[in-house]
Amino acid sequence: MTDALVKVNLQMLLSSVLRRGSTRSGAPKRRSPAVAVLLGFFGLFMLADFAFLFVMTFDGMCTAFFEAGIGWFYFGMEAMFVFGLCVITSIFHAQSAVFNAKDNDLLLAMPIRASSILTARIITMLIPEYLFEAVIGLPALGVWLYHGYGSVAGVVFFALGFLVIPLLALTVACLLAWILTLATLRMRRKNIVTLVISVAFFIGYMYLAMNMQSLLGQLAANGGTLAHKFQSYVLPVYYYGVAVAEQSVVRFLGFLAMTAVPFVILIYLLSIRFIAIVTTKRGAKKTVYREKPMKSAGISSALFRREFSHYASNPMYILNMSIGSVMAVIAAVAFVIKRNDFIAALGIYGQMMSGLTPPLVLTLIILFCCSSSTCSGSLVSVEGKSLWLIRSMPVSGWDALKAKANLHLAICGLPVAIAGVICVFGAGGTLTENIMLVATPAAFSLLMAYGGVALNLLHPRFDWTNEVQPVKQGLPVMIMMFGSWALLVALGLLYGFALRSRLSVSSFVLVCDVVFAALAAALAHWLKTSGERRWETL
Amino acid sequence: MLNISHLTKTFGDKKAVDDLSLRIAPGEICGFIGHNGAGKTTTIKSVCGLLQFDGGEITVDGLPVKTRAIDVKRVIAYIPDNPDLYEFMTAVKFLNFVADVYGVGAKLREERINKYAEIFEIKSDLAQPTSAFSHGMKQKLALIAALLHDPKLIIMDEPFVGLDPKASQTVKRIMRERCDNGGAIFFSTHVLEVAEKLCDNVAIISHGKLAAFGSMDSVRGNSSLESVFFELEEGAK
Repeated sequence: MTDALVKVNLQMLLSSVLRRGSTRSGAPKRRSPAVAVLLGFFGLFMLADFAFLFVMTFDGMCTAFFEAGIGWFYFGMEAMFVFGLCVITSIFHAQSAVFNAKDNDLLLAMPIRASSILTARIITMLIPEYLFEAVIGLPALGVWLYHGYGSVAGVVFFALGFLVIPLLALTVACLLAWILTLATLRMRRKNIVTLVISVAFFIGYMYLAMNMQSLLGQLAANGGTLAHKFQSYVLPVYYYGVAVAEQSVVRFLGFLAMTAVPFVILIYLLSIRFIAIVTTKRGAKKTVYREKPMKSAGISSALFRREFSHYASNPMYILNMSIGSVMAVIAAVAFVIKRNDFIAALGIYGQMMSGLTPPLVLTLIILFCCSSSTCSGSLVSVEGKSLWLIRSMPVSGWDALKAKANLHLAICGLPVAIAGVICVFGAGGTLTENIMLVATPAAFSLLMAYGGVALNLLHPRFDWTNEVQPVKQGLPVMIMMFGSWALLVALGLLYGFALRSRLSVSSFVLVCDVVFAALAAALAHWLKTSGERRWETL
Repeated sequence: MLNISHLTKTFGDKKAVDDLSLRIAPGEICGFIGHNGAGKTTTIKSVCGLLQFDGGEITVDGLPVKTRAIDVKRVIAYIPDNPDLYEFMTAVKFLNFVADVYGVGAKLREERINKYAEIFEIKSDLAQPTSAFSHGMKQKLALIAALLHDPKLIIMDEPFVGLDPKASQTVKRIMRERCDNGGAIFFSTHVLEVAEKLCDNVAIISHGKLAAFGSMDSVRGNSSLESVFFELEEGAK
């Protein structure tokens, strides 16, 4: 039974990428092979990017640690990186996919053991974890072999450890998700709690990413001291490191006992409590309705508020939909505070590439953040089973779609435009450059807003079991992100190879702004005409 | 009020509704009966503008659904068999949203929300998110939302599923009152006794085709609606 459930879960996971929106008769269509290949290429490109970063990171550690006689700490660090990434990526996934999955009731009503449902969900969660692990683990292995410290037995222990490390990460993630689920059962504002925890993780991640160089420097300098602490307090990491670096069977068995056993115990405990956890709906303390004078509003305002309420209802929506715009504002404020450092750093690169002025670099940074704000790409899909409501009301398709584009502009476009305005105060650019700083993010956001809604209208998915799926895994969201990056790179190449001698950078960017705005207007027109007709067939 | 003329809807090779015609006048309650997959929901969704149909014409209050869908939606209300409401809203926010869309003034919506919430005994629950509602409570909330803009025609798909006996009785009373005041109601049901007691007219659909349509007395004659329904089903086979 477990394998059948795993198959269903995997089919669901794959179909969110390999199949496209429902047809009129409700059956999803298979994507063309070309699109599937393109998606695969983008995915590999992203993974290769991250893998390259880890190659650089491990290259800085390998010789230092092995020469200092603490080679085990090299693999200890690898295990820590994998563990951290897997825990962060799977806590909320575990909560939504295990404890709050929409098909829990359906499956529990069937003659299926709770342990089978749970095991199938855990196995499905493990697959992406192995993928994340590969992005970190394979560079570590490659760098180790490249520097000549490797051995056959070490590779075997590494491969065995590769299978086991995510189990420990998943144990911790499931445990935290369980605690979170229990803790928020009675809370009225459980979304805020989840949002605060998510933001805390995000800030932690940003801190690590921004200080990676100095942290690695400290790590290399104080490797011995840190290794001693790990040896004393983080035994599984120590045992794993020794098992691979020094090929110790005993240490590997110790590591196995410390990782696999807690995993098995957790699965057992969760299996026993699974039905109770997923069916207990204690709910928050009931709020009794008190009559208040009601206010009326127009259709556009009501539709926008509906979109905003949906967005604000789920911390995962907030985090995934607004991450880019939040990053843009943080970057702008950081620039104003550390303006001199930024300009000094830019001076070094400026010697290599002429025309790399602070306003241009800031504009590019904000545009990159804009590309990560893919809110509009999921707003049609998140209607889900409630789509009938808006479709049965006297609301034109254009009004409904416009409200979605407006939400994107409000939560993504407005912050990036504000980020541009903040940068104007510190960049010290010319009038044209200042216009570029504000107009470019605004025009690009318009394109992203209407483009995302159009893409989602062409590729909607309403059959999700977890409402974060269309926001995180939907094809329109991926196309928006990678497509906008590709567009920016293409424009950069166009300027660099063909237009550099004829136009200044800022003039070129302003021309691009006009093109972005014109494309956005064309997409808005399409939504108003063909898009509206398509909306009526959903 | 509702005029369906030669309605045809095909899904792939299957004709879900085949040349169906019926008419409902103001003041009438029309029950729509048929086996599972007979074409009831397809017909209902076509009337509401939720499904584009291939042939025929549907008019509501003289307005063609095909070309003036938005105007039609202003004068009708639709309640599906399983109302998936906005779980991210509280009940009162949801009702306010519906009132905004239908342009119901602040004072009027306040009166209607309070009146119907009291009738259906969910007034104290209006501040709760709809995700906390049971199926029956969602059904009641959908009914209140449907009544907010005082529609001329109410279309319901299995309206009594999930309702407690008291709420069912209330719904039947409201249905009758609305029709006595010139409204019209078109609803599907599998509960033949309810249809028999409540409806002025009845339409029986079998395998996409209209098998019988007329006043309750003319359709059932001297036997029961149940007997007529099974006879027609057997005949269709």
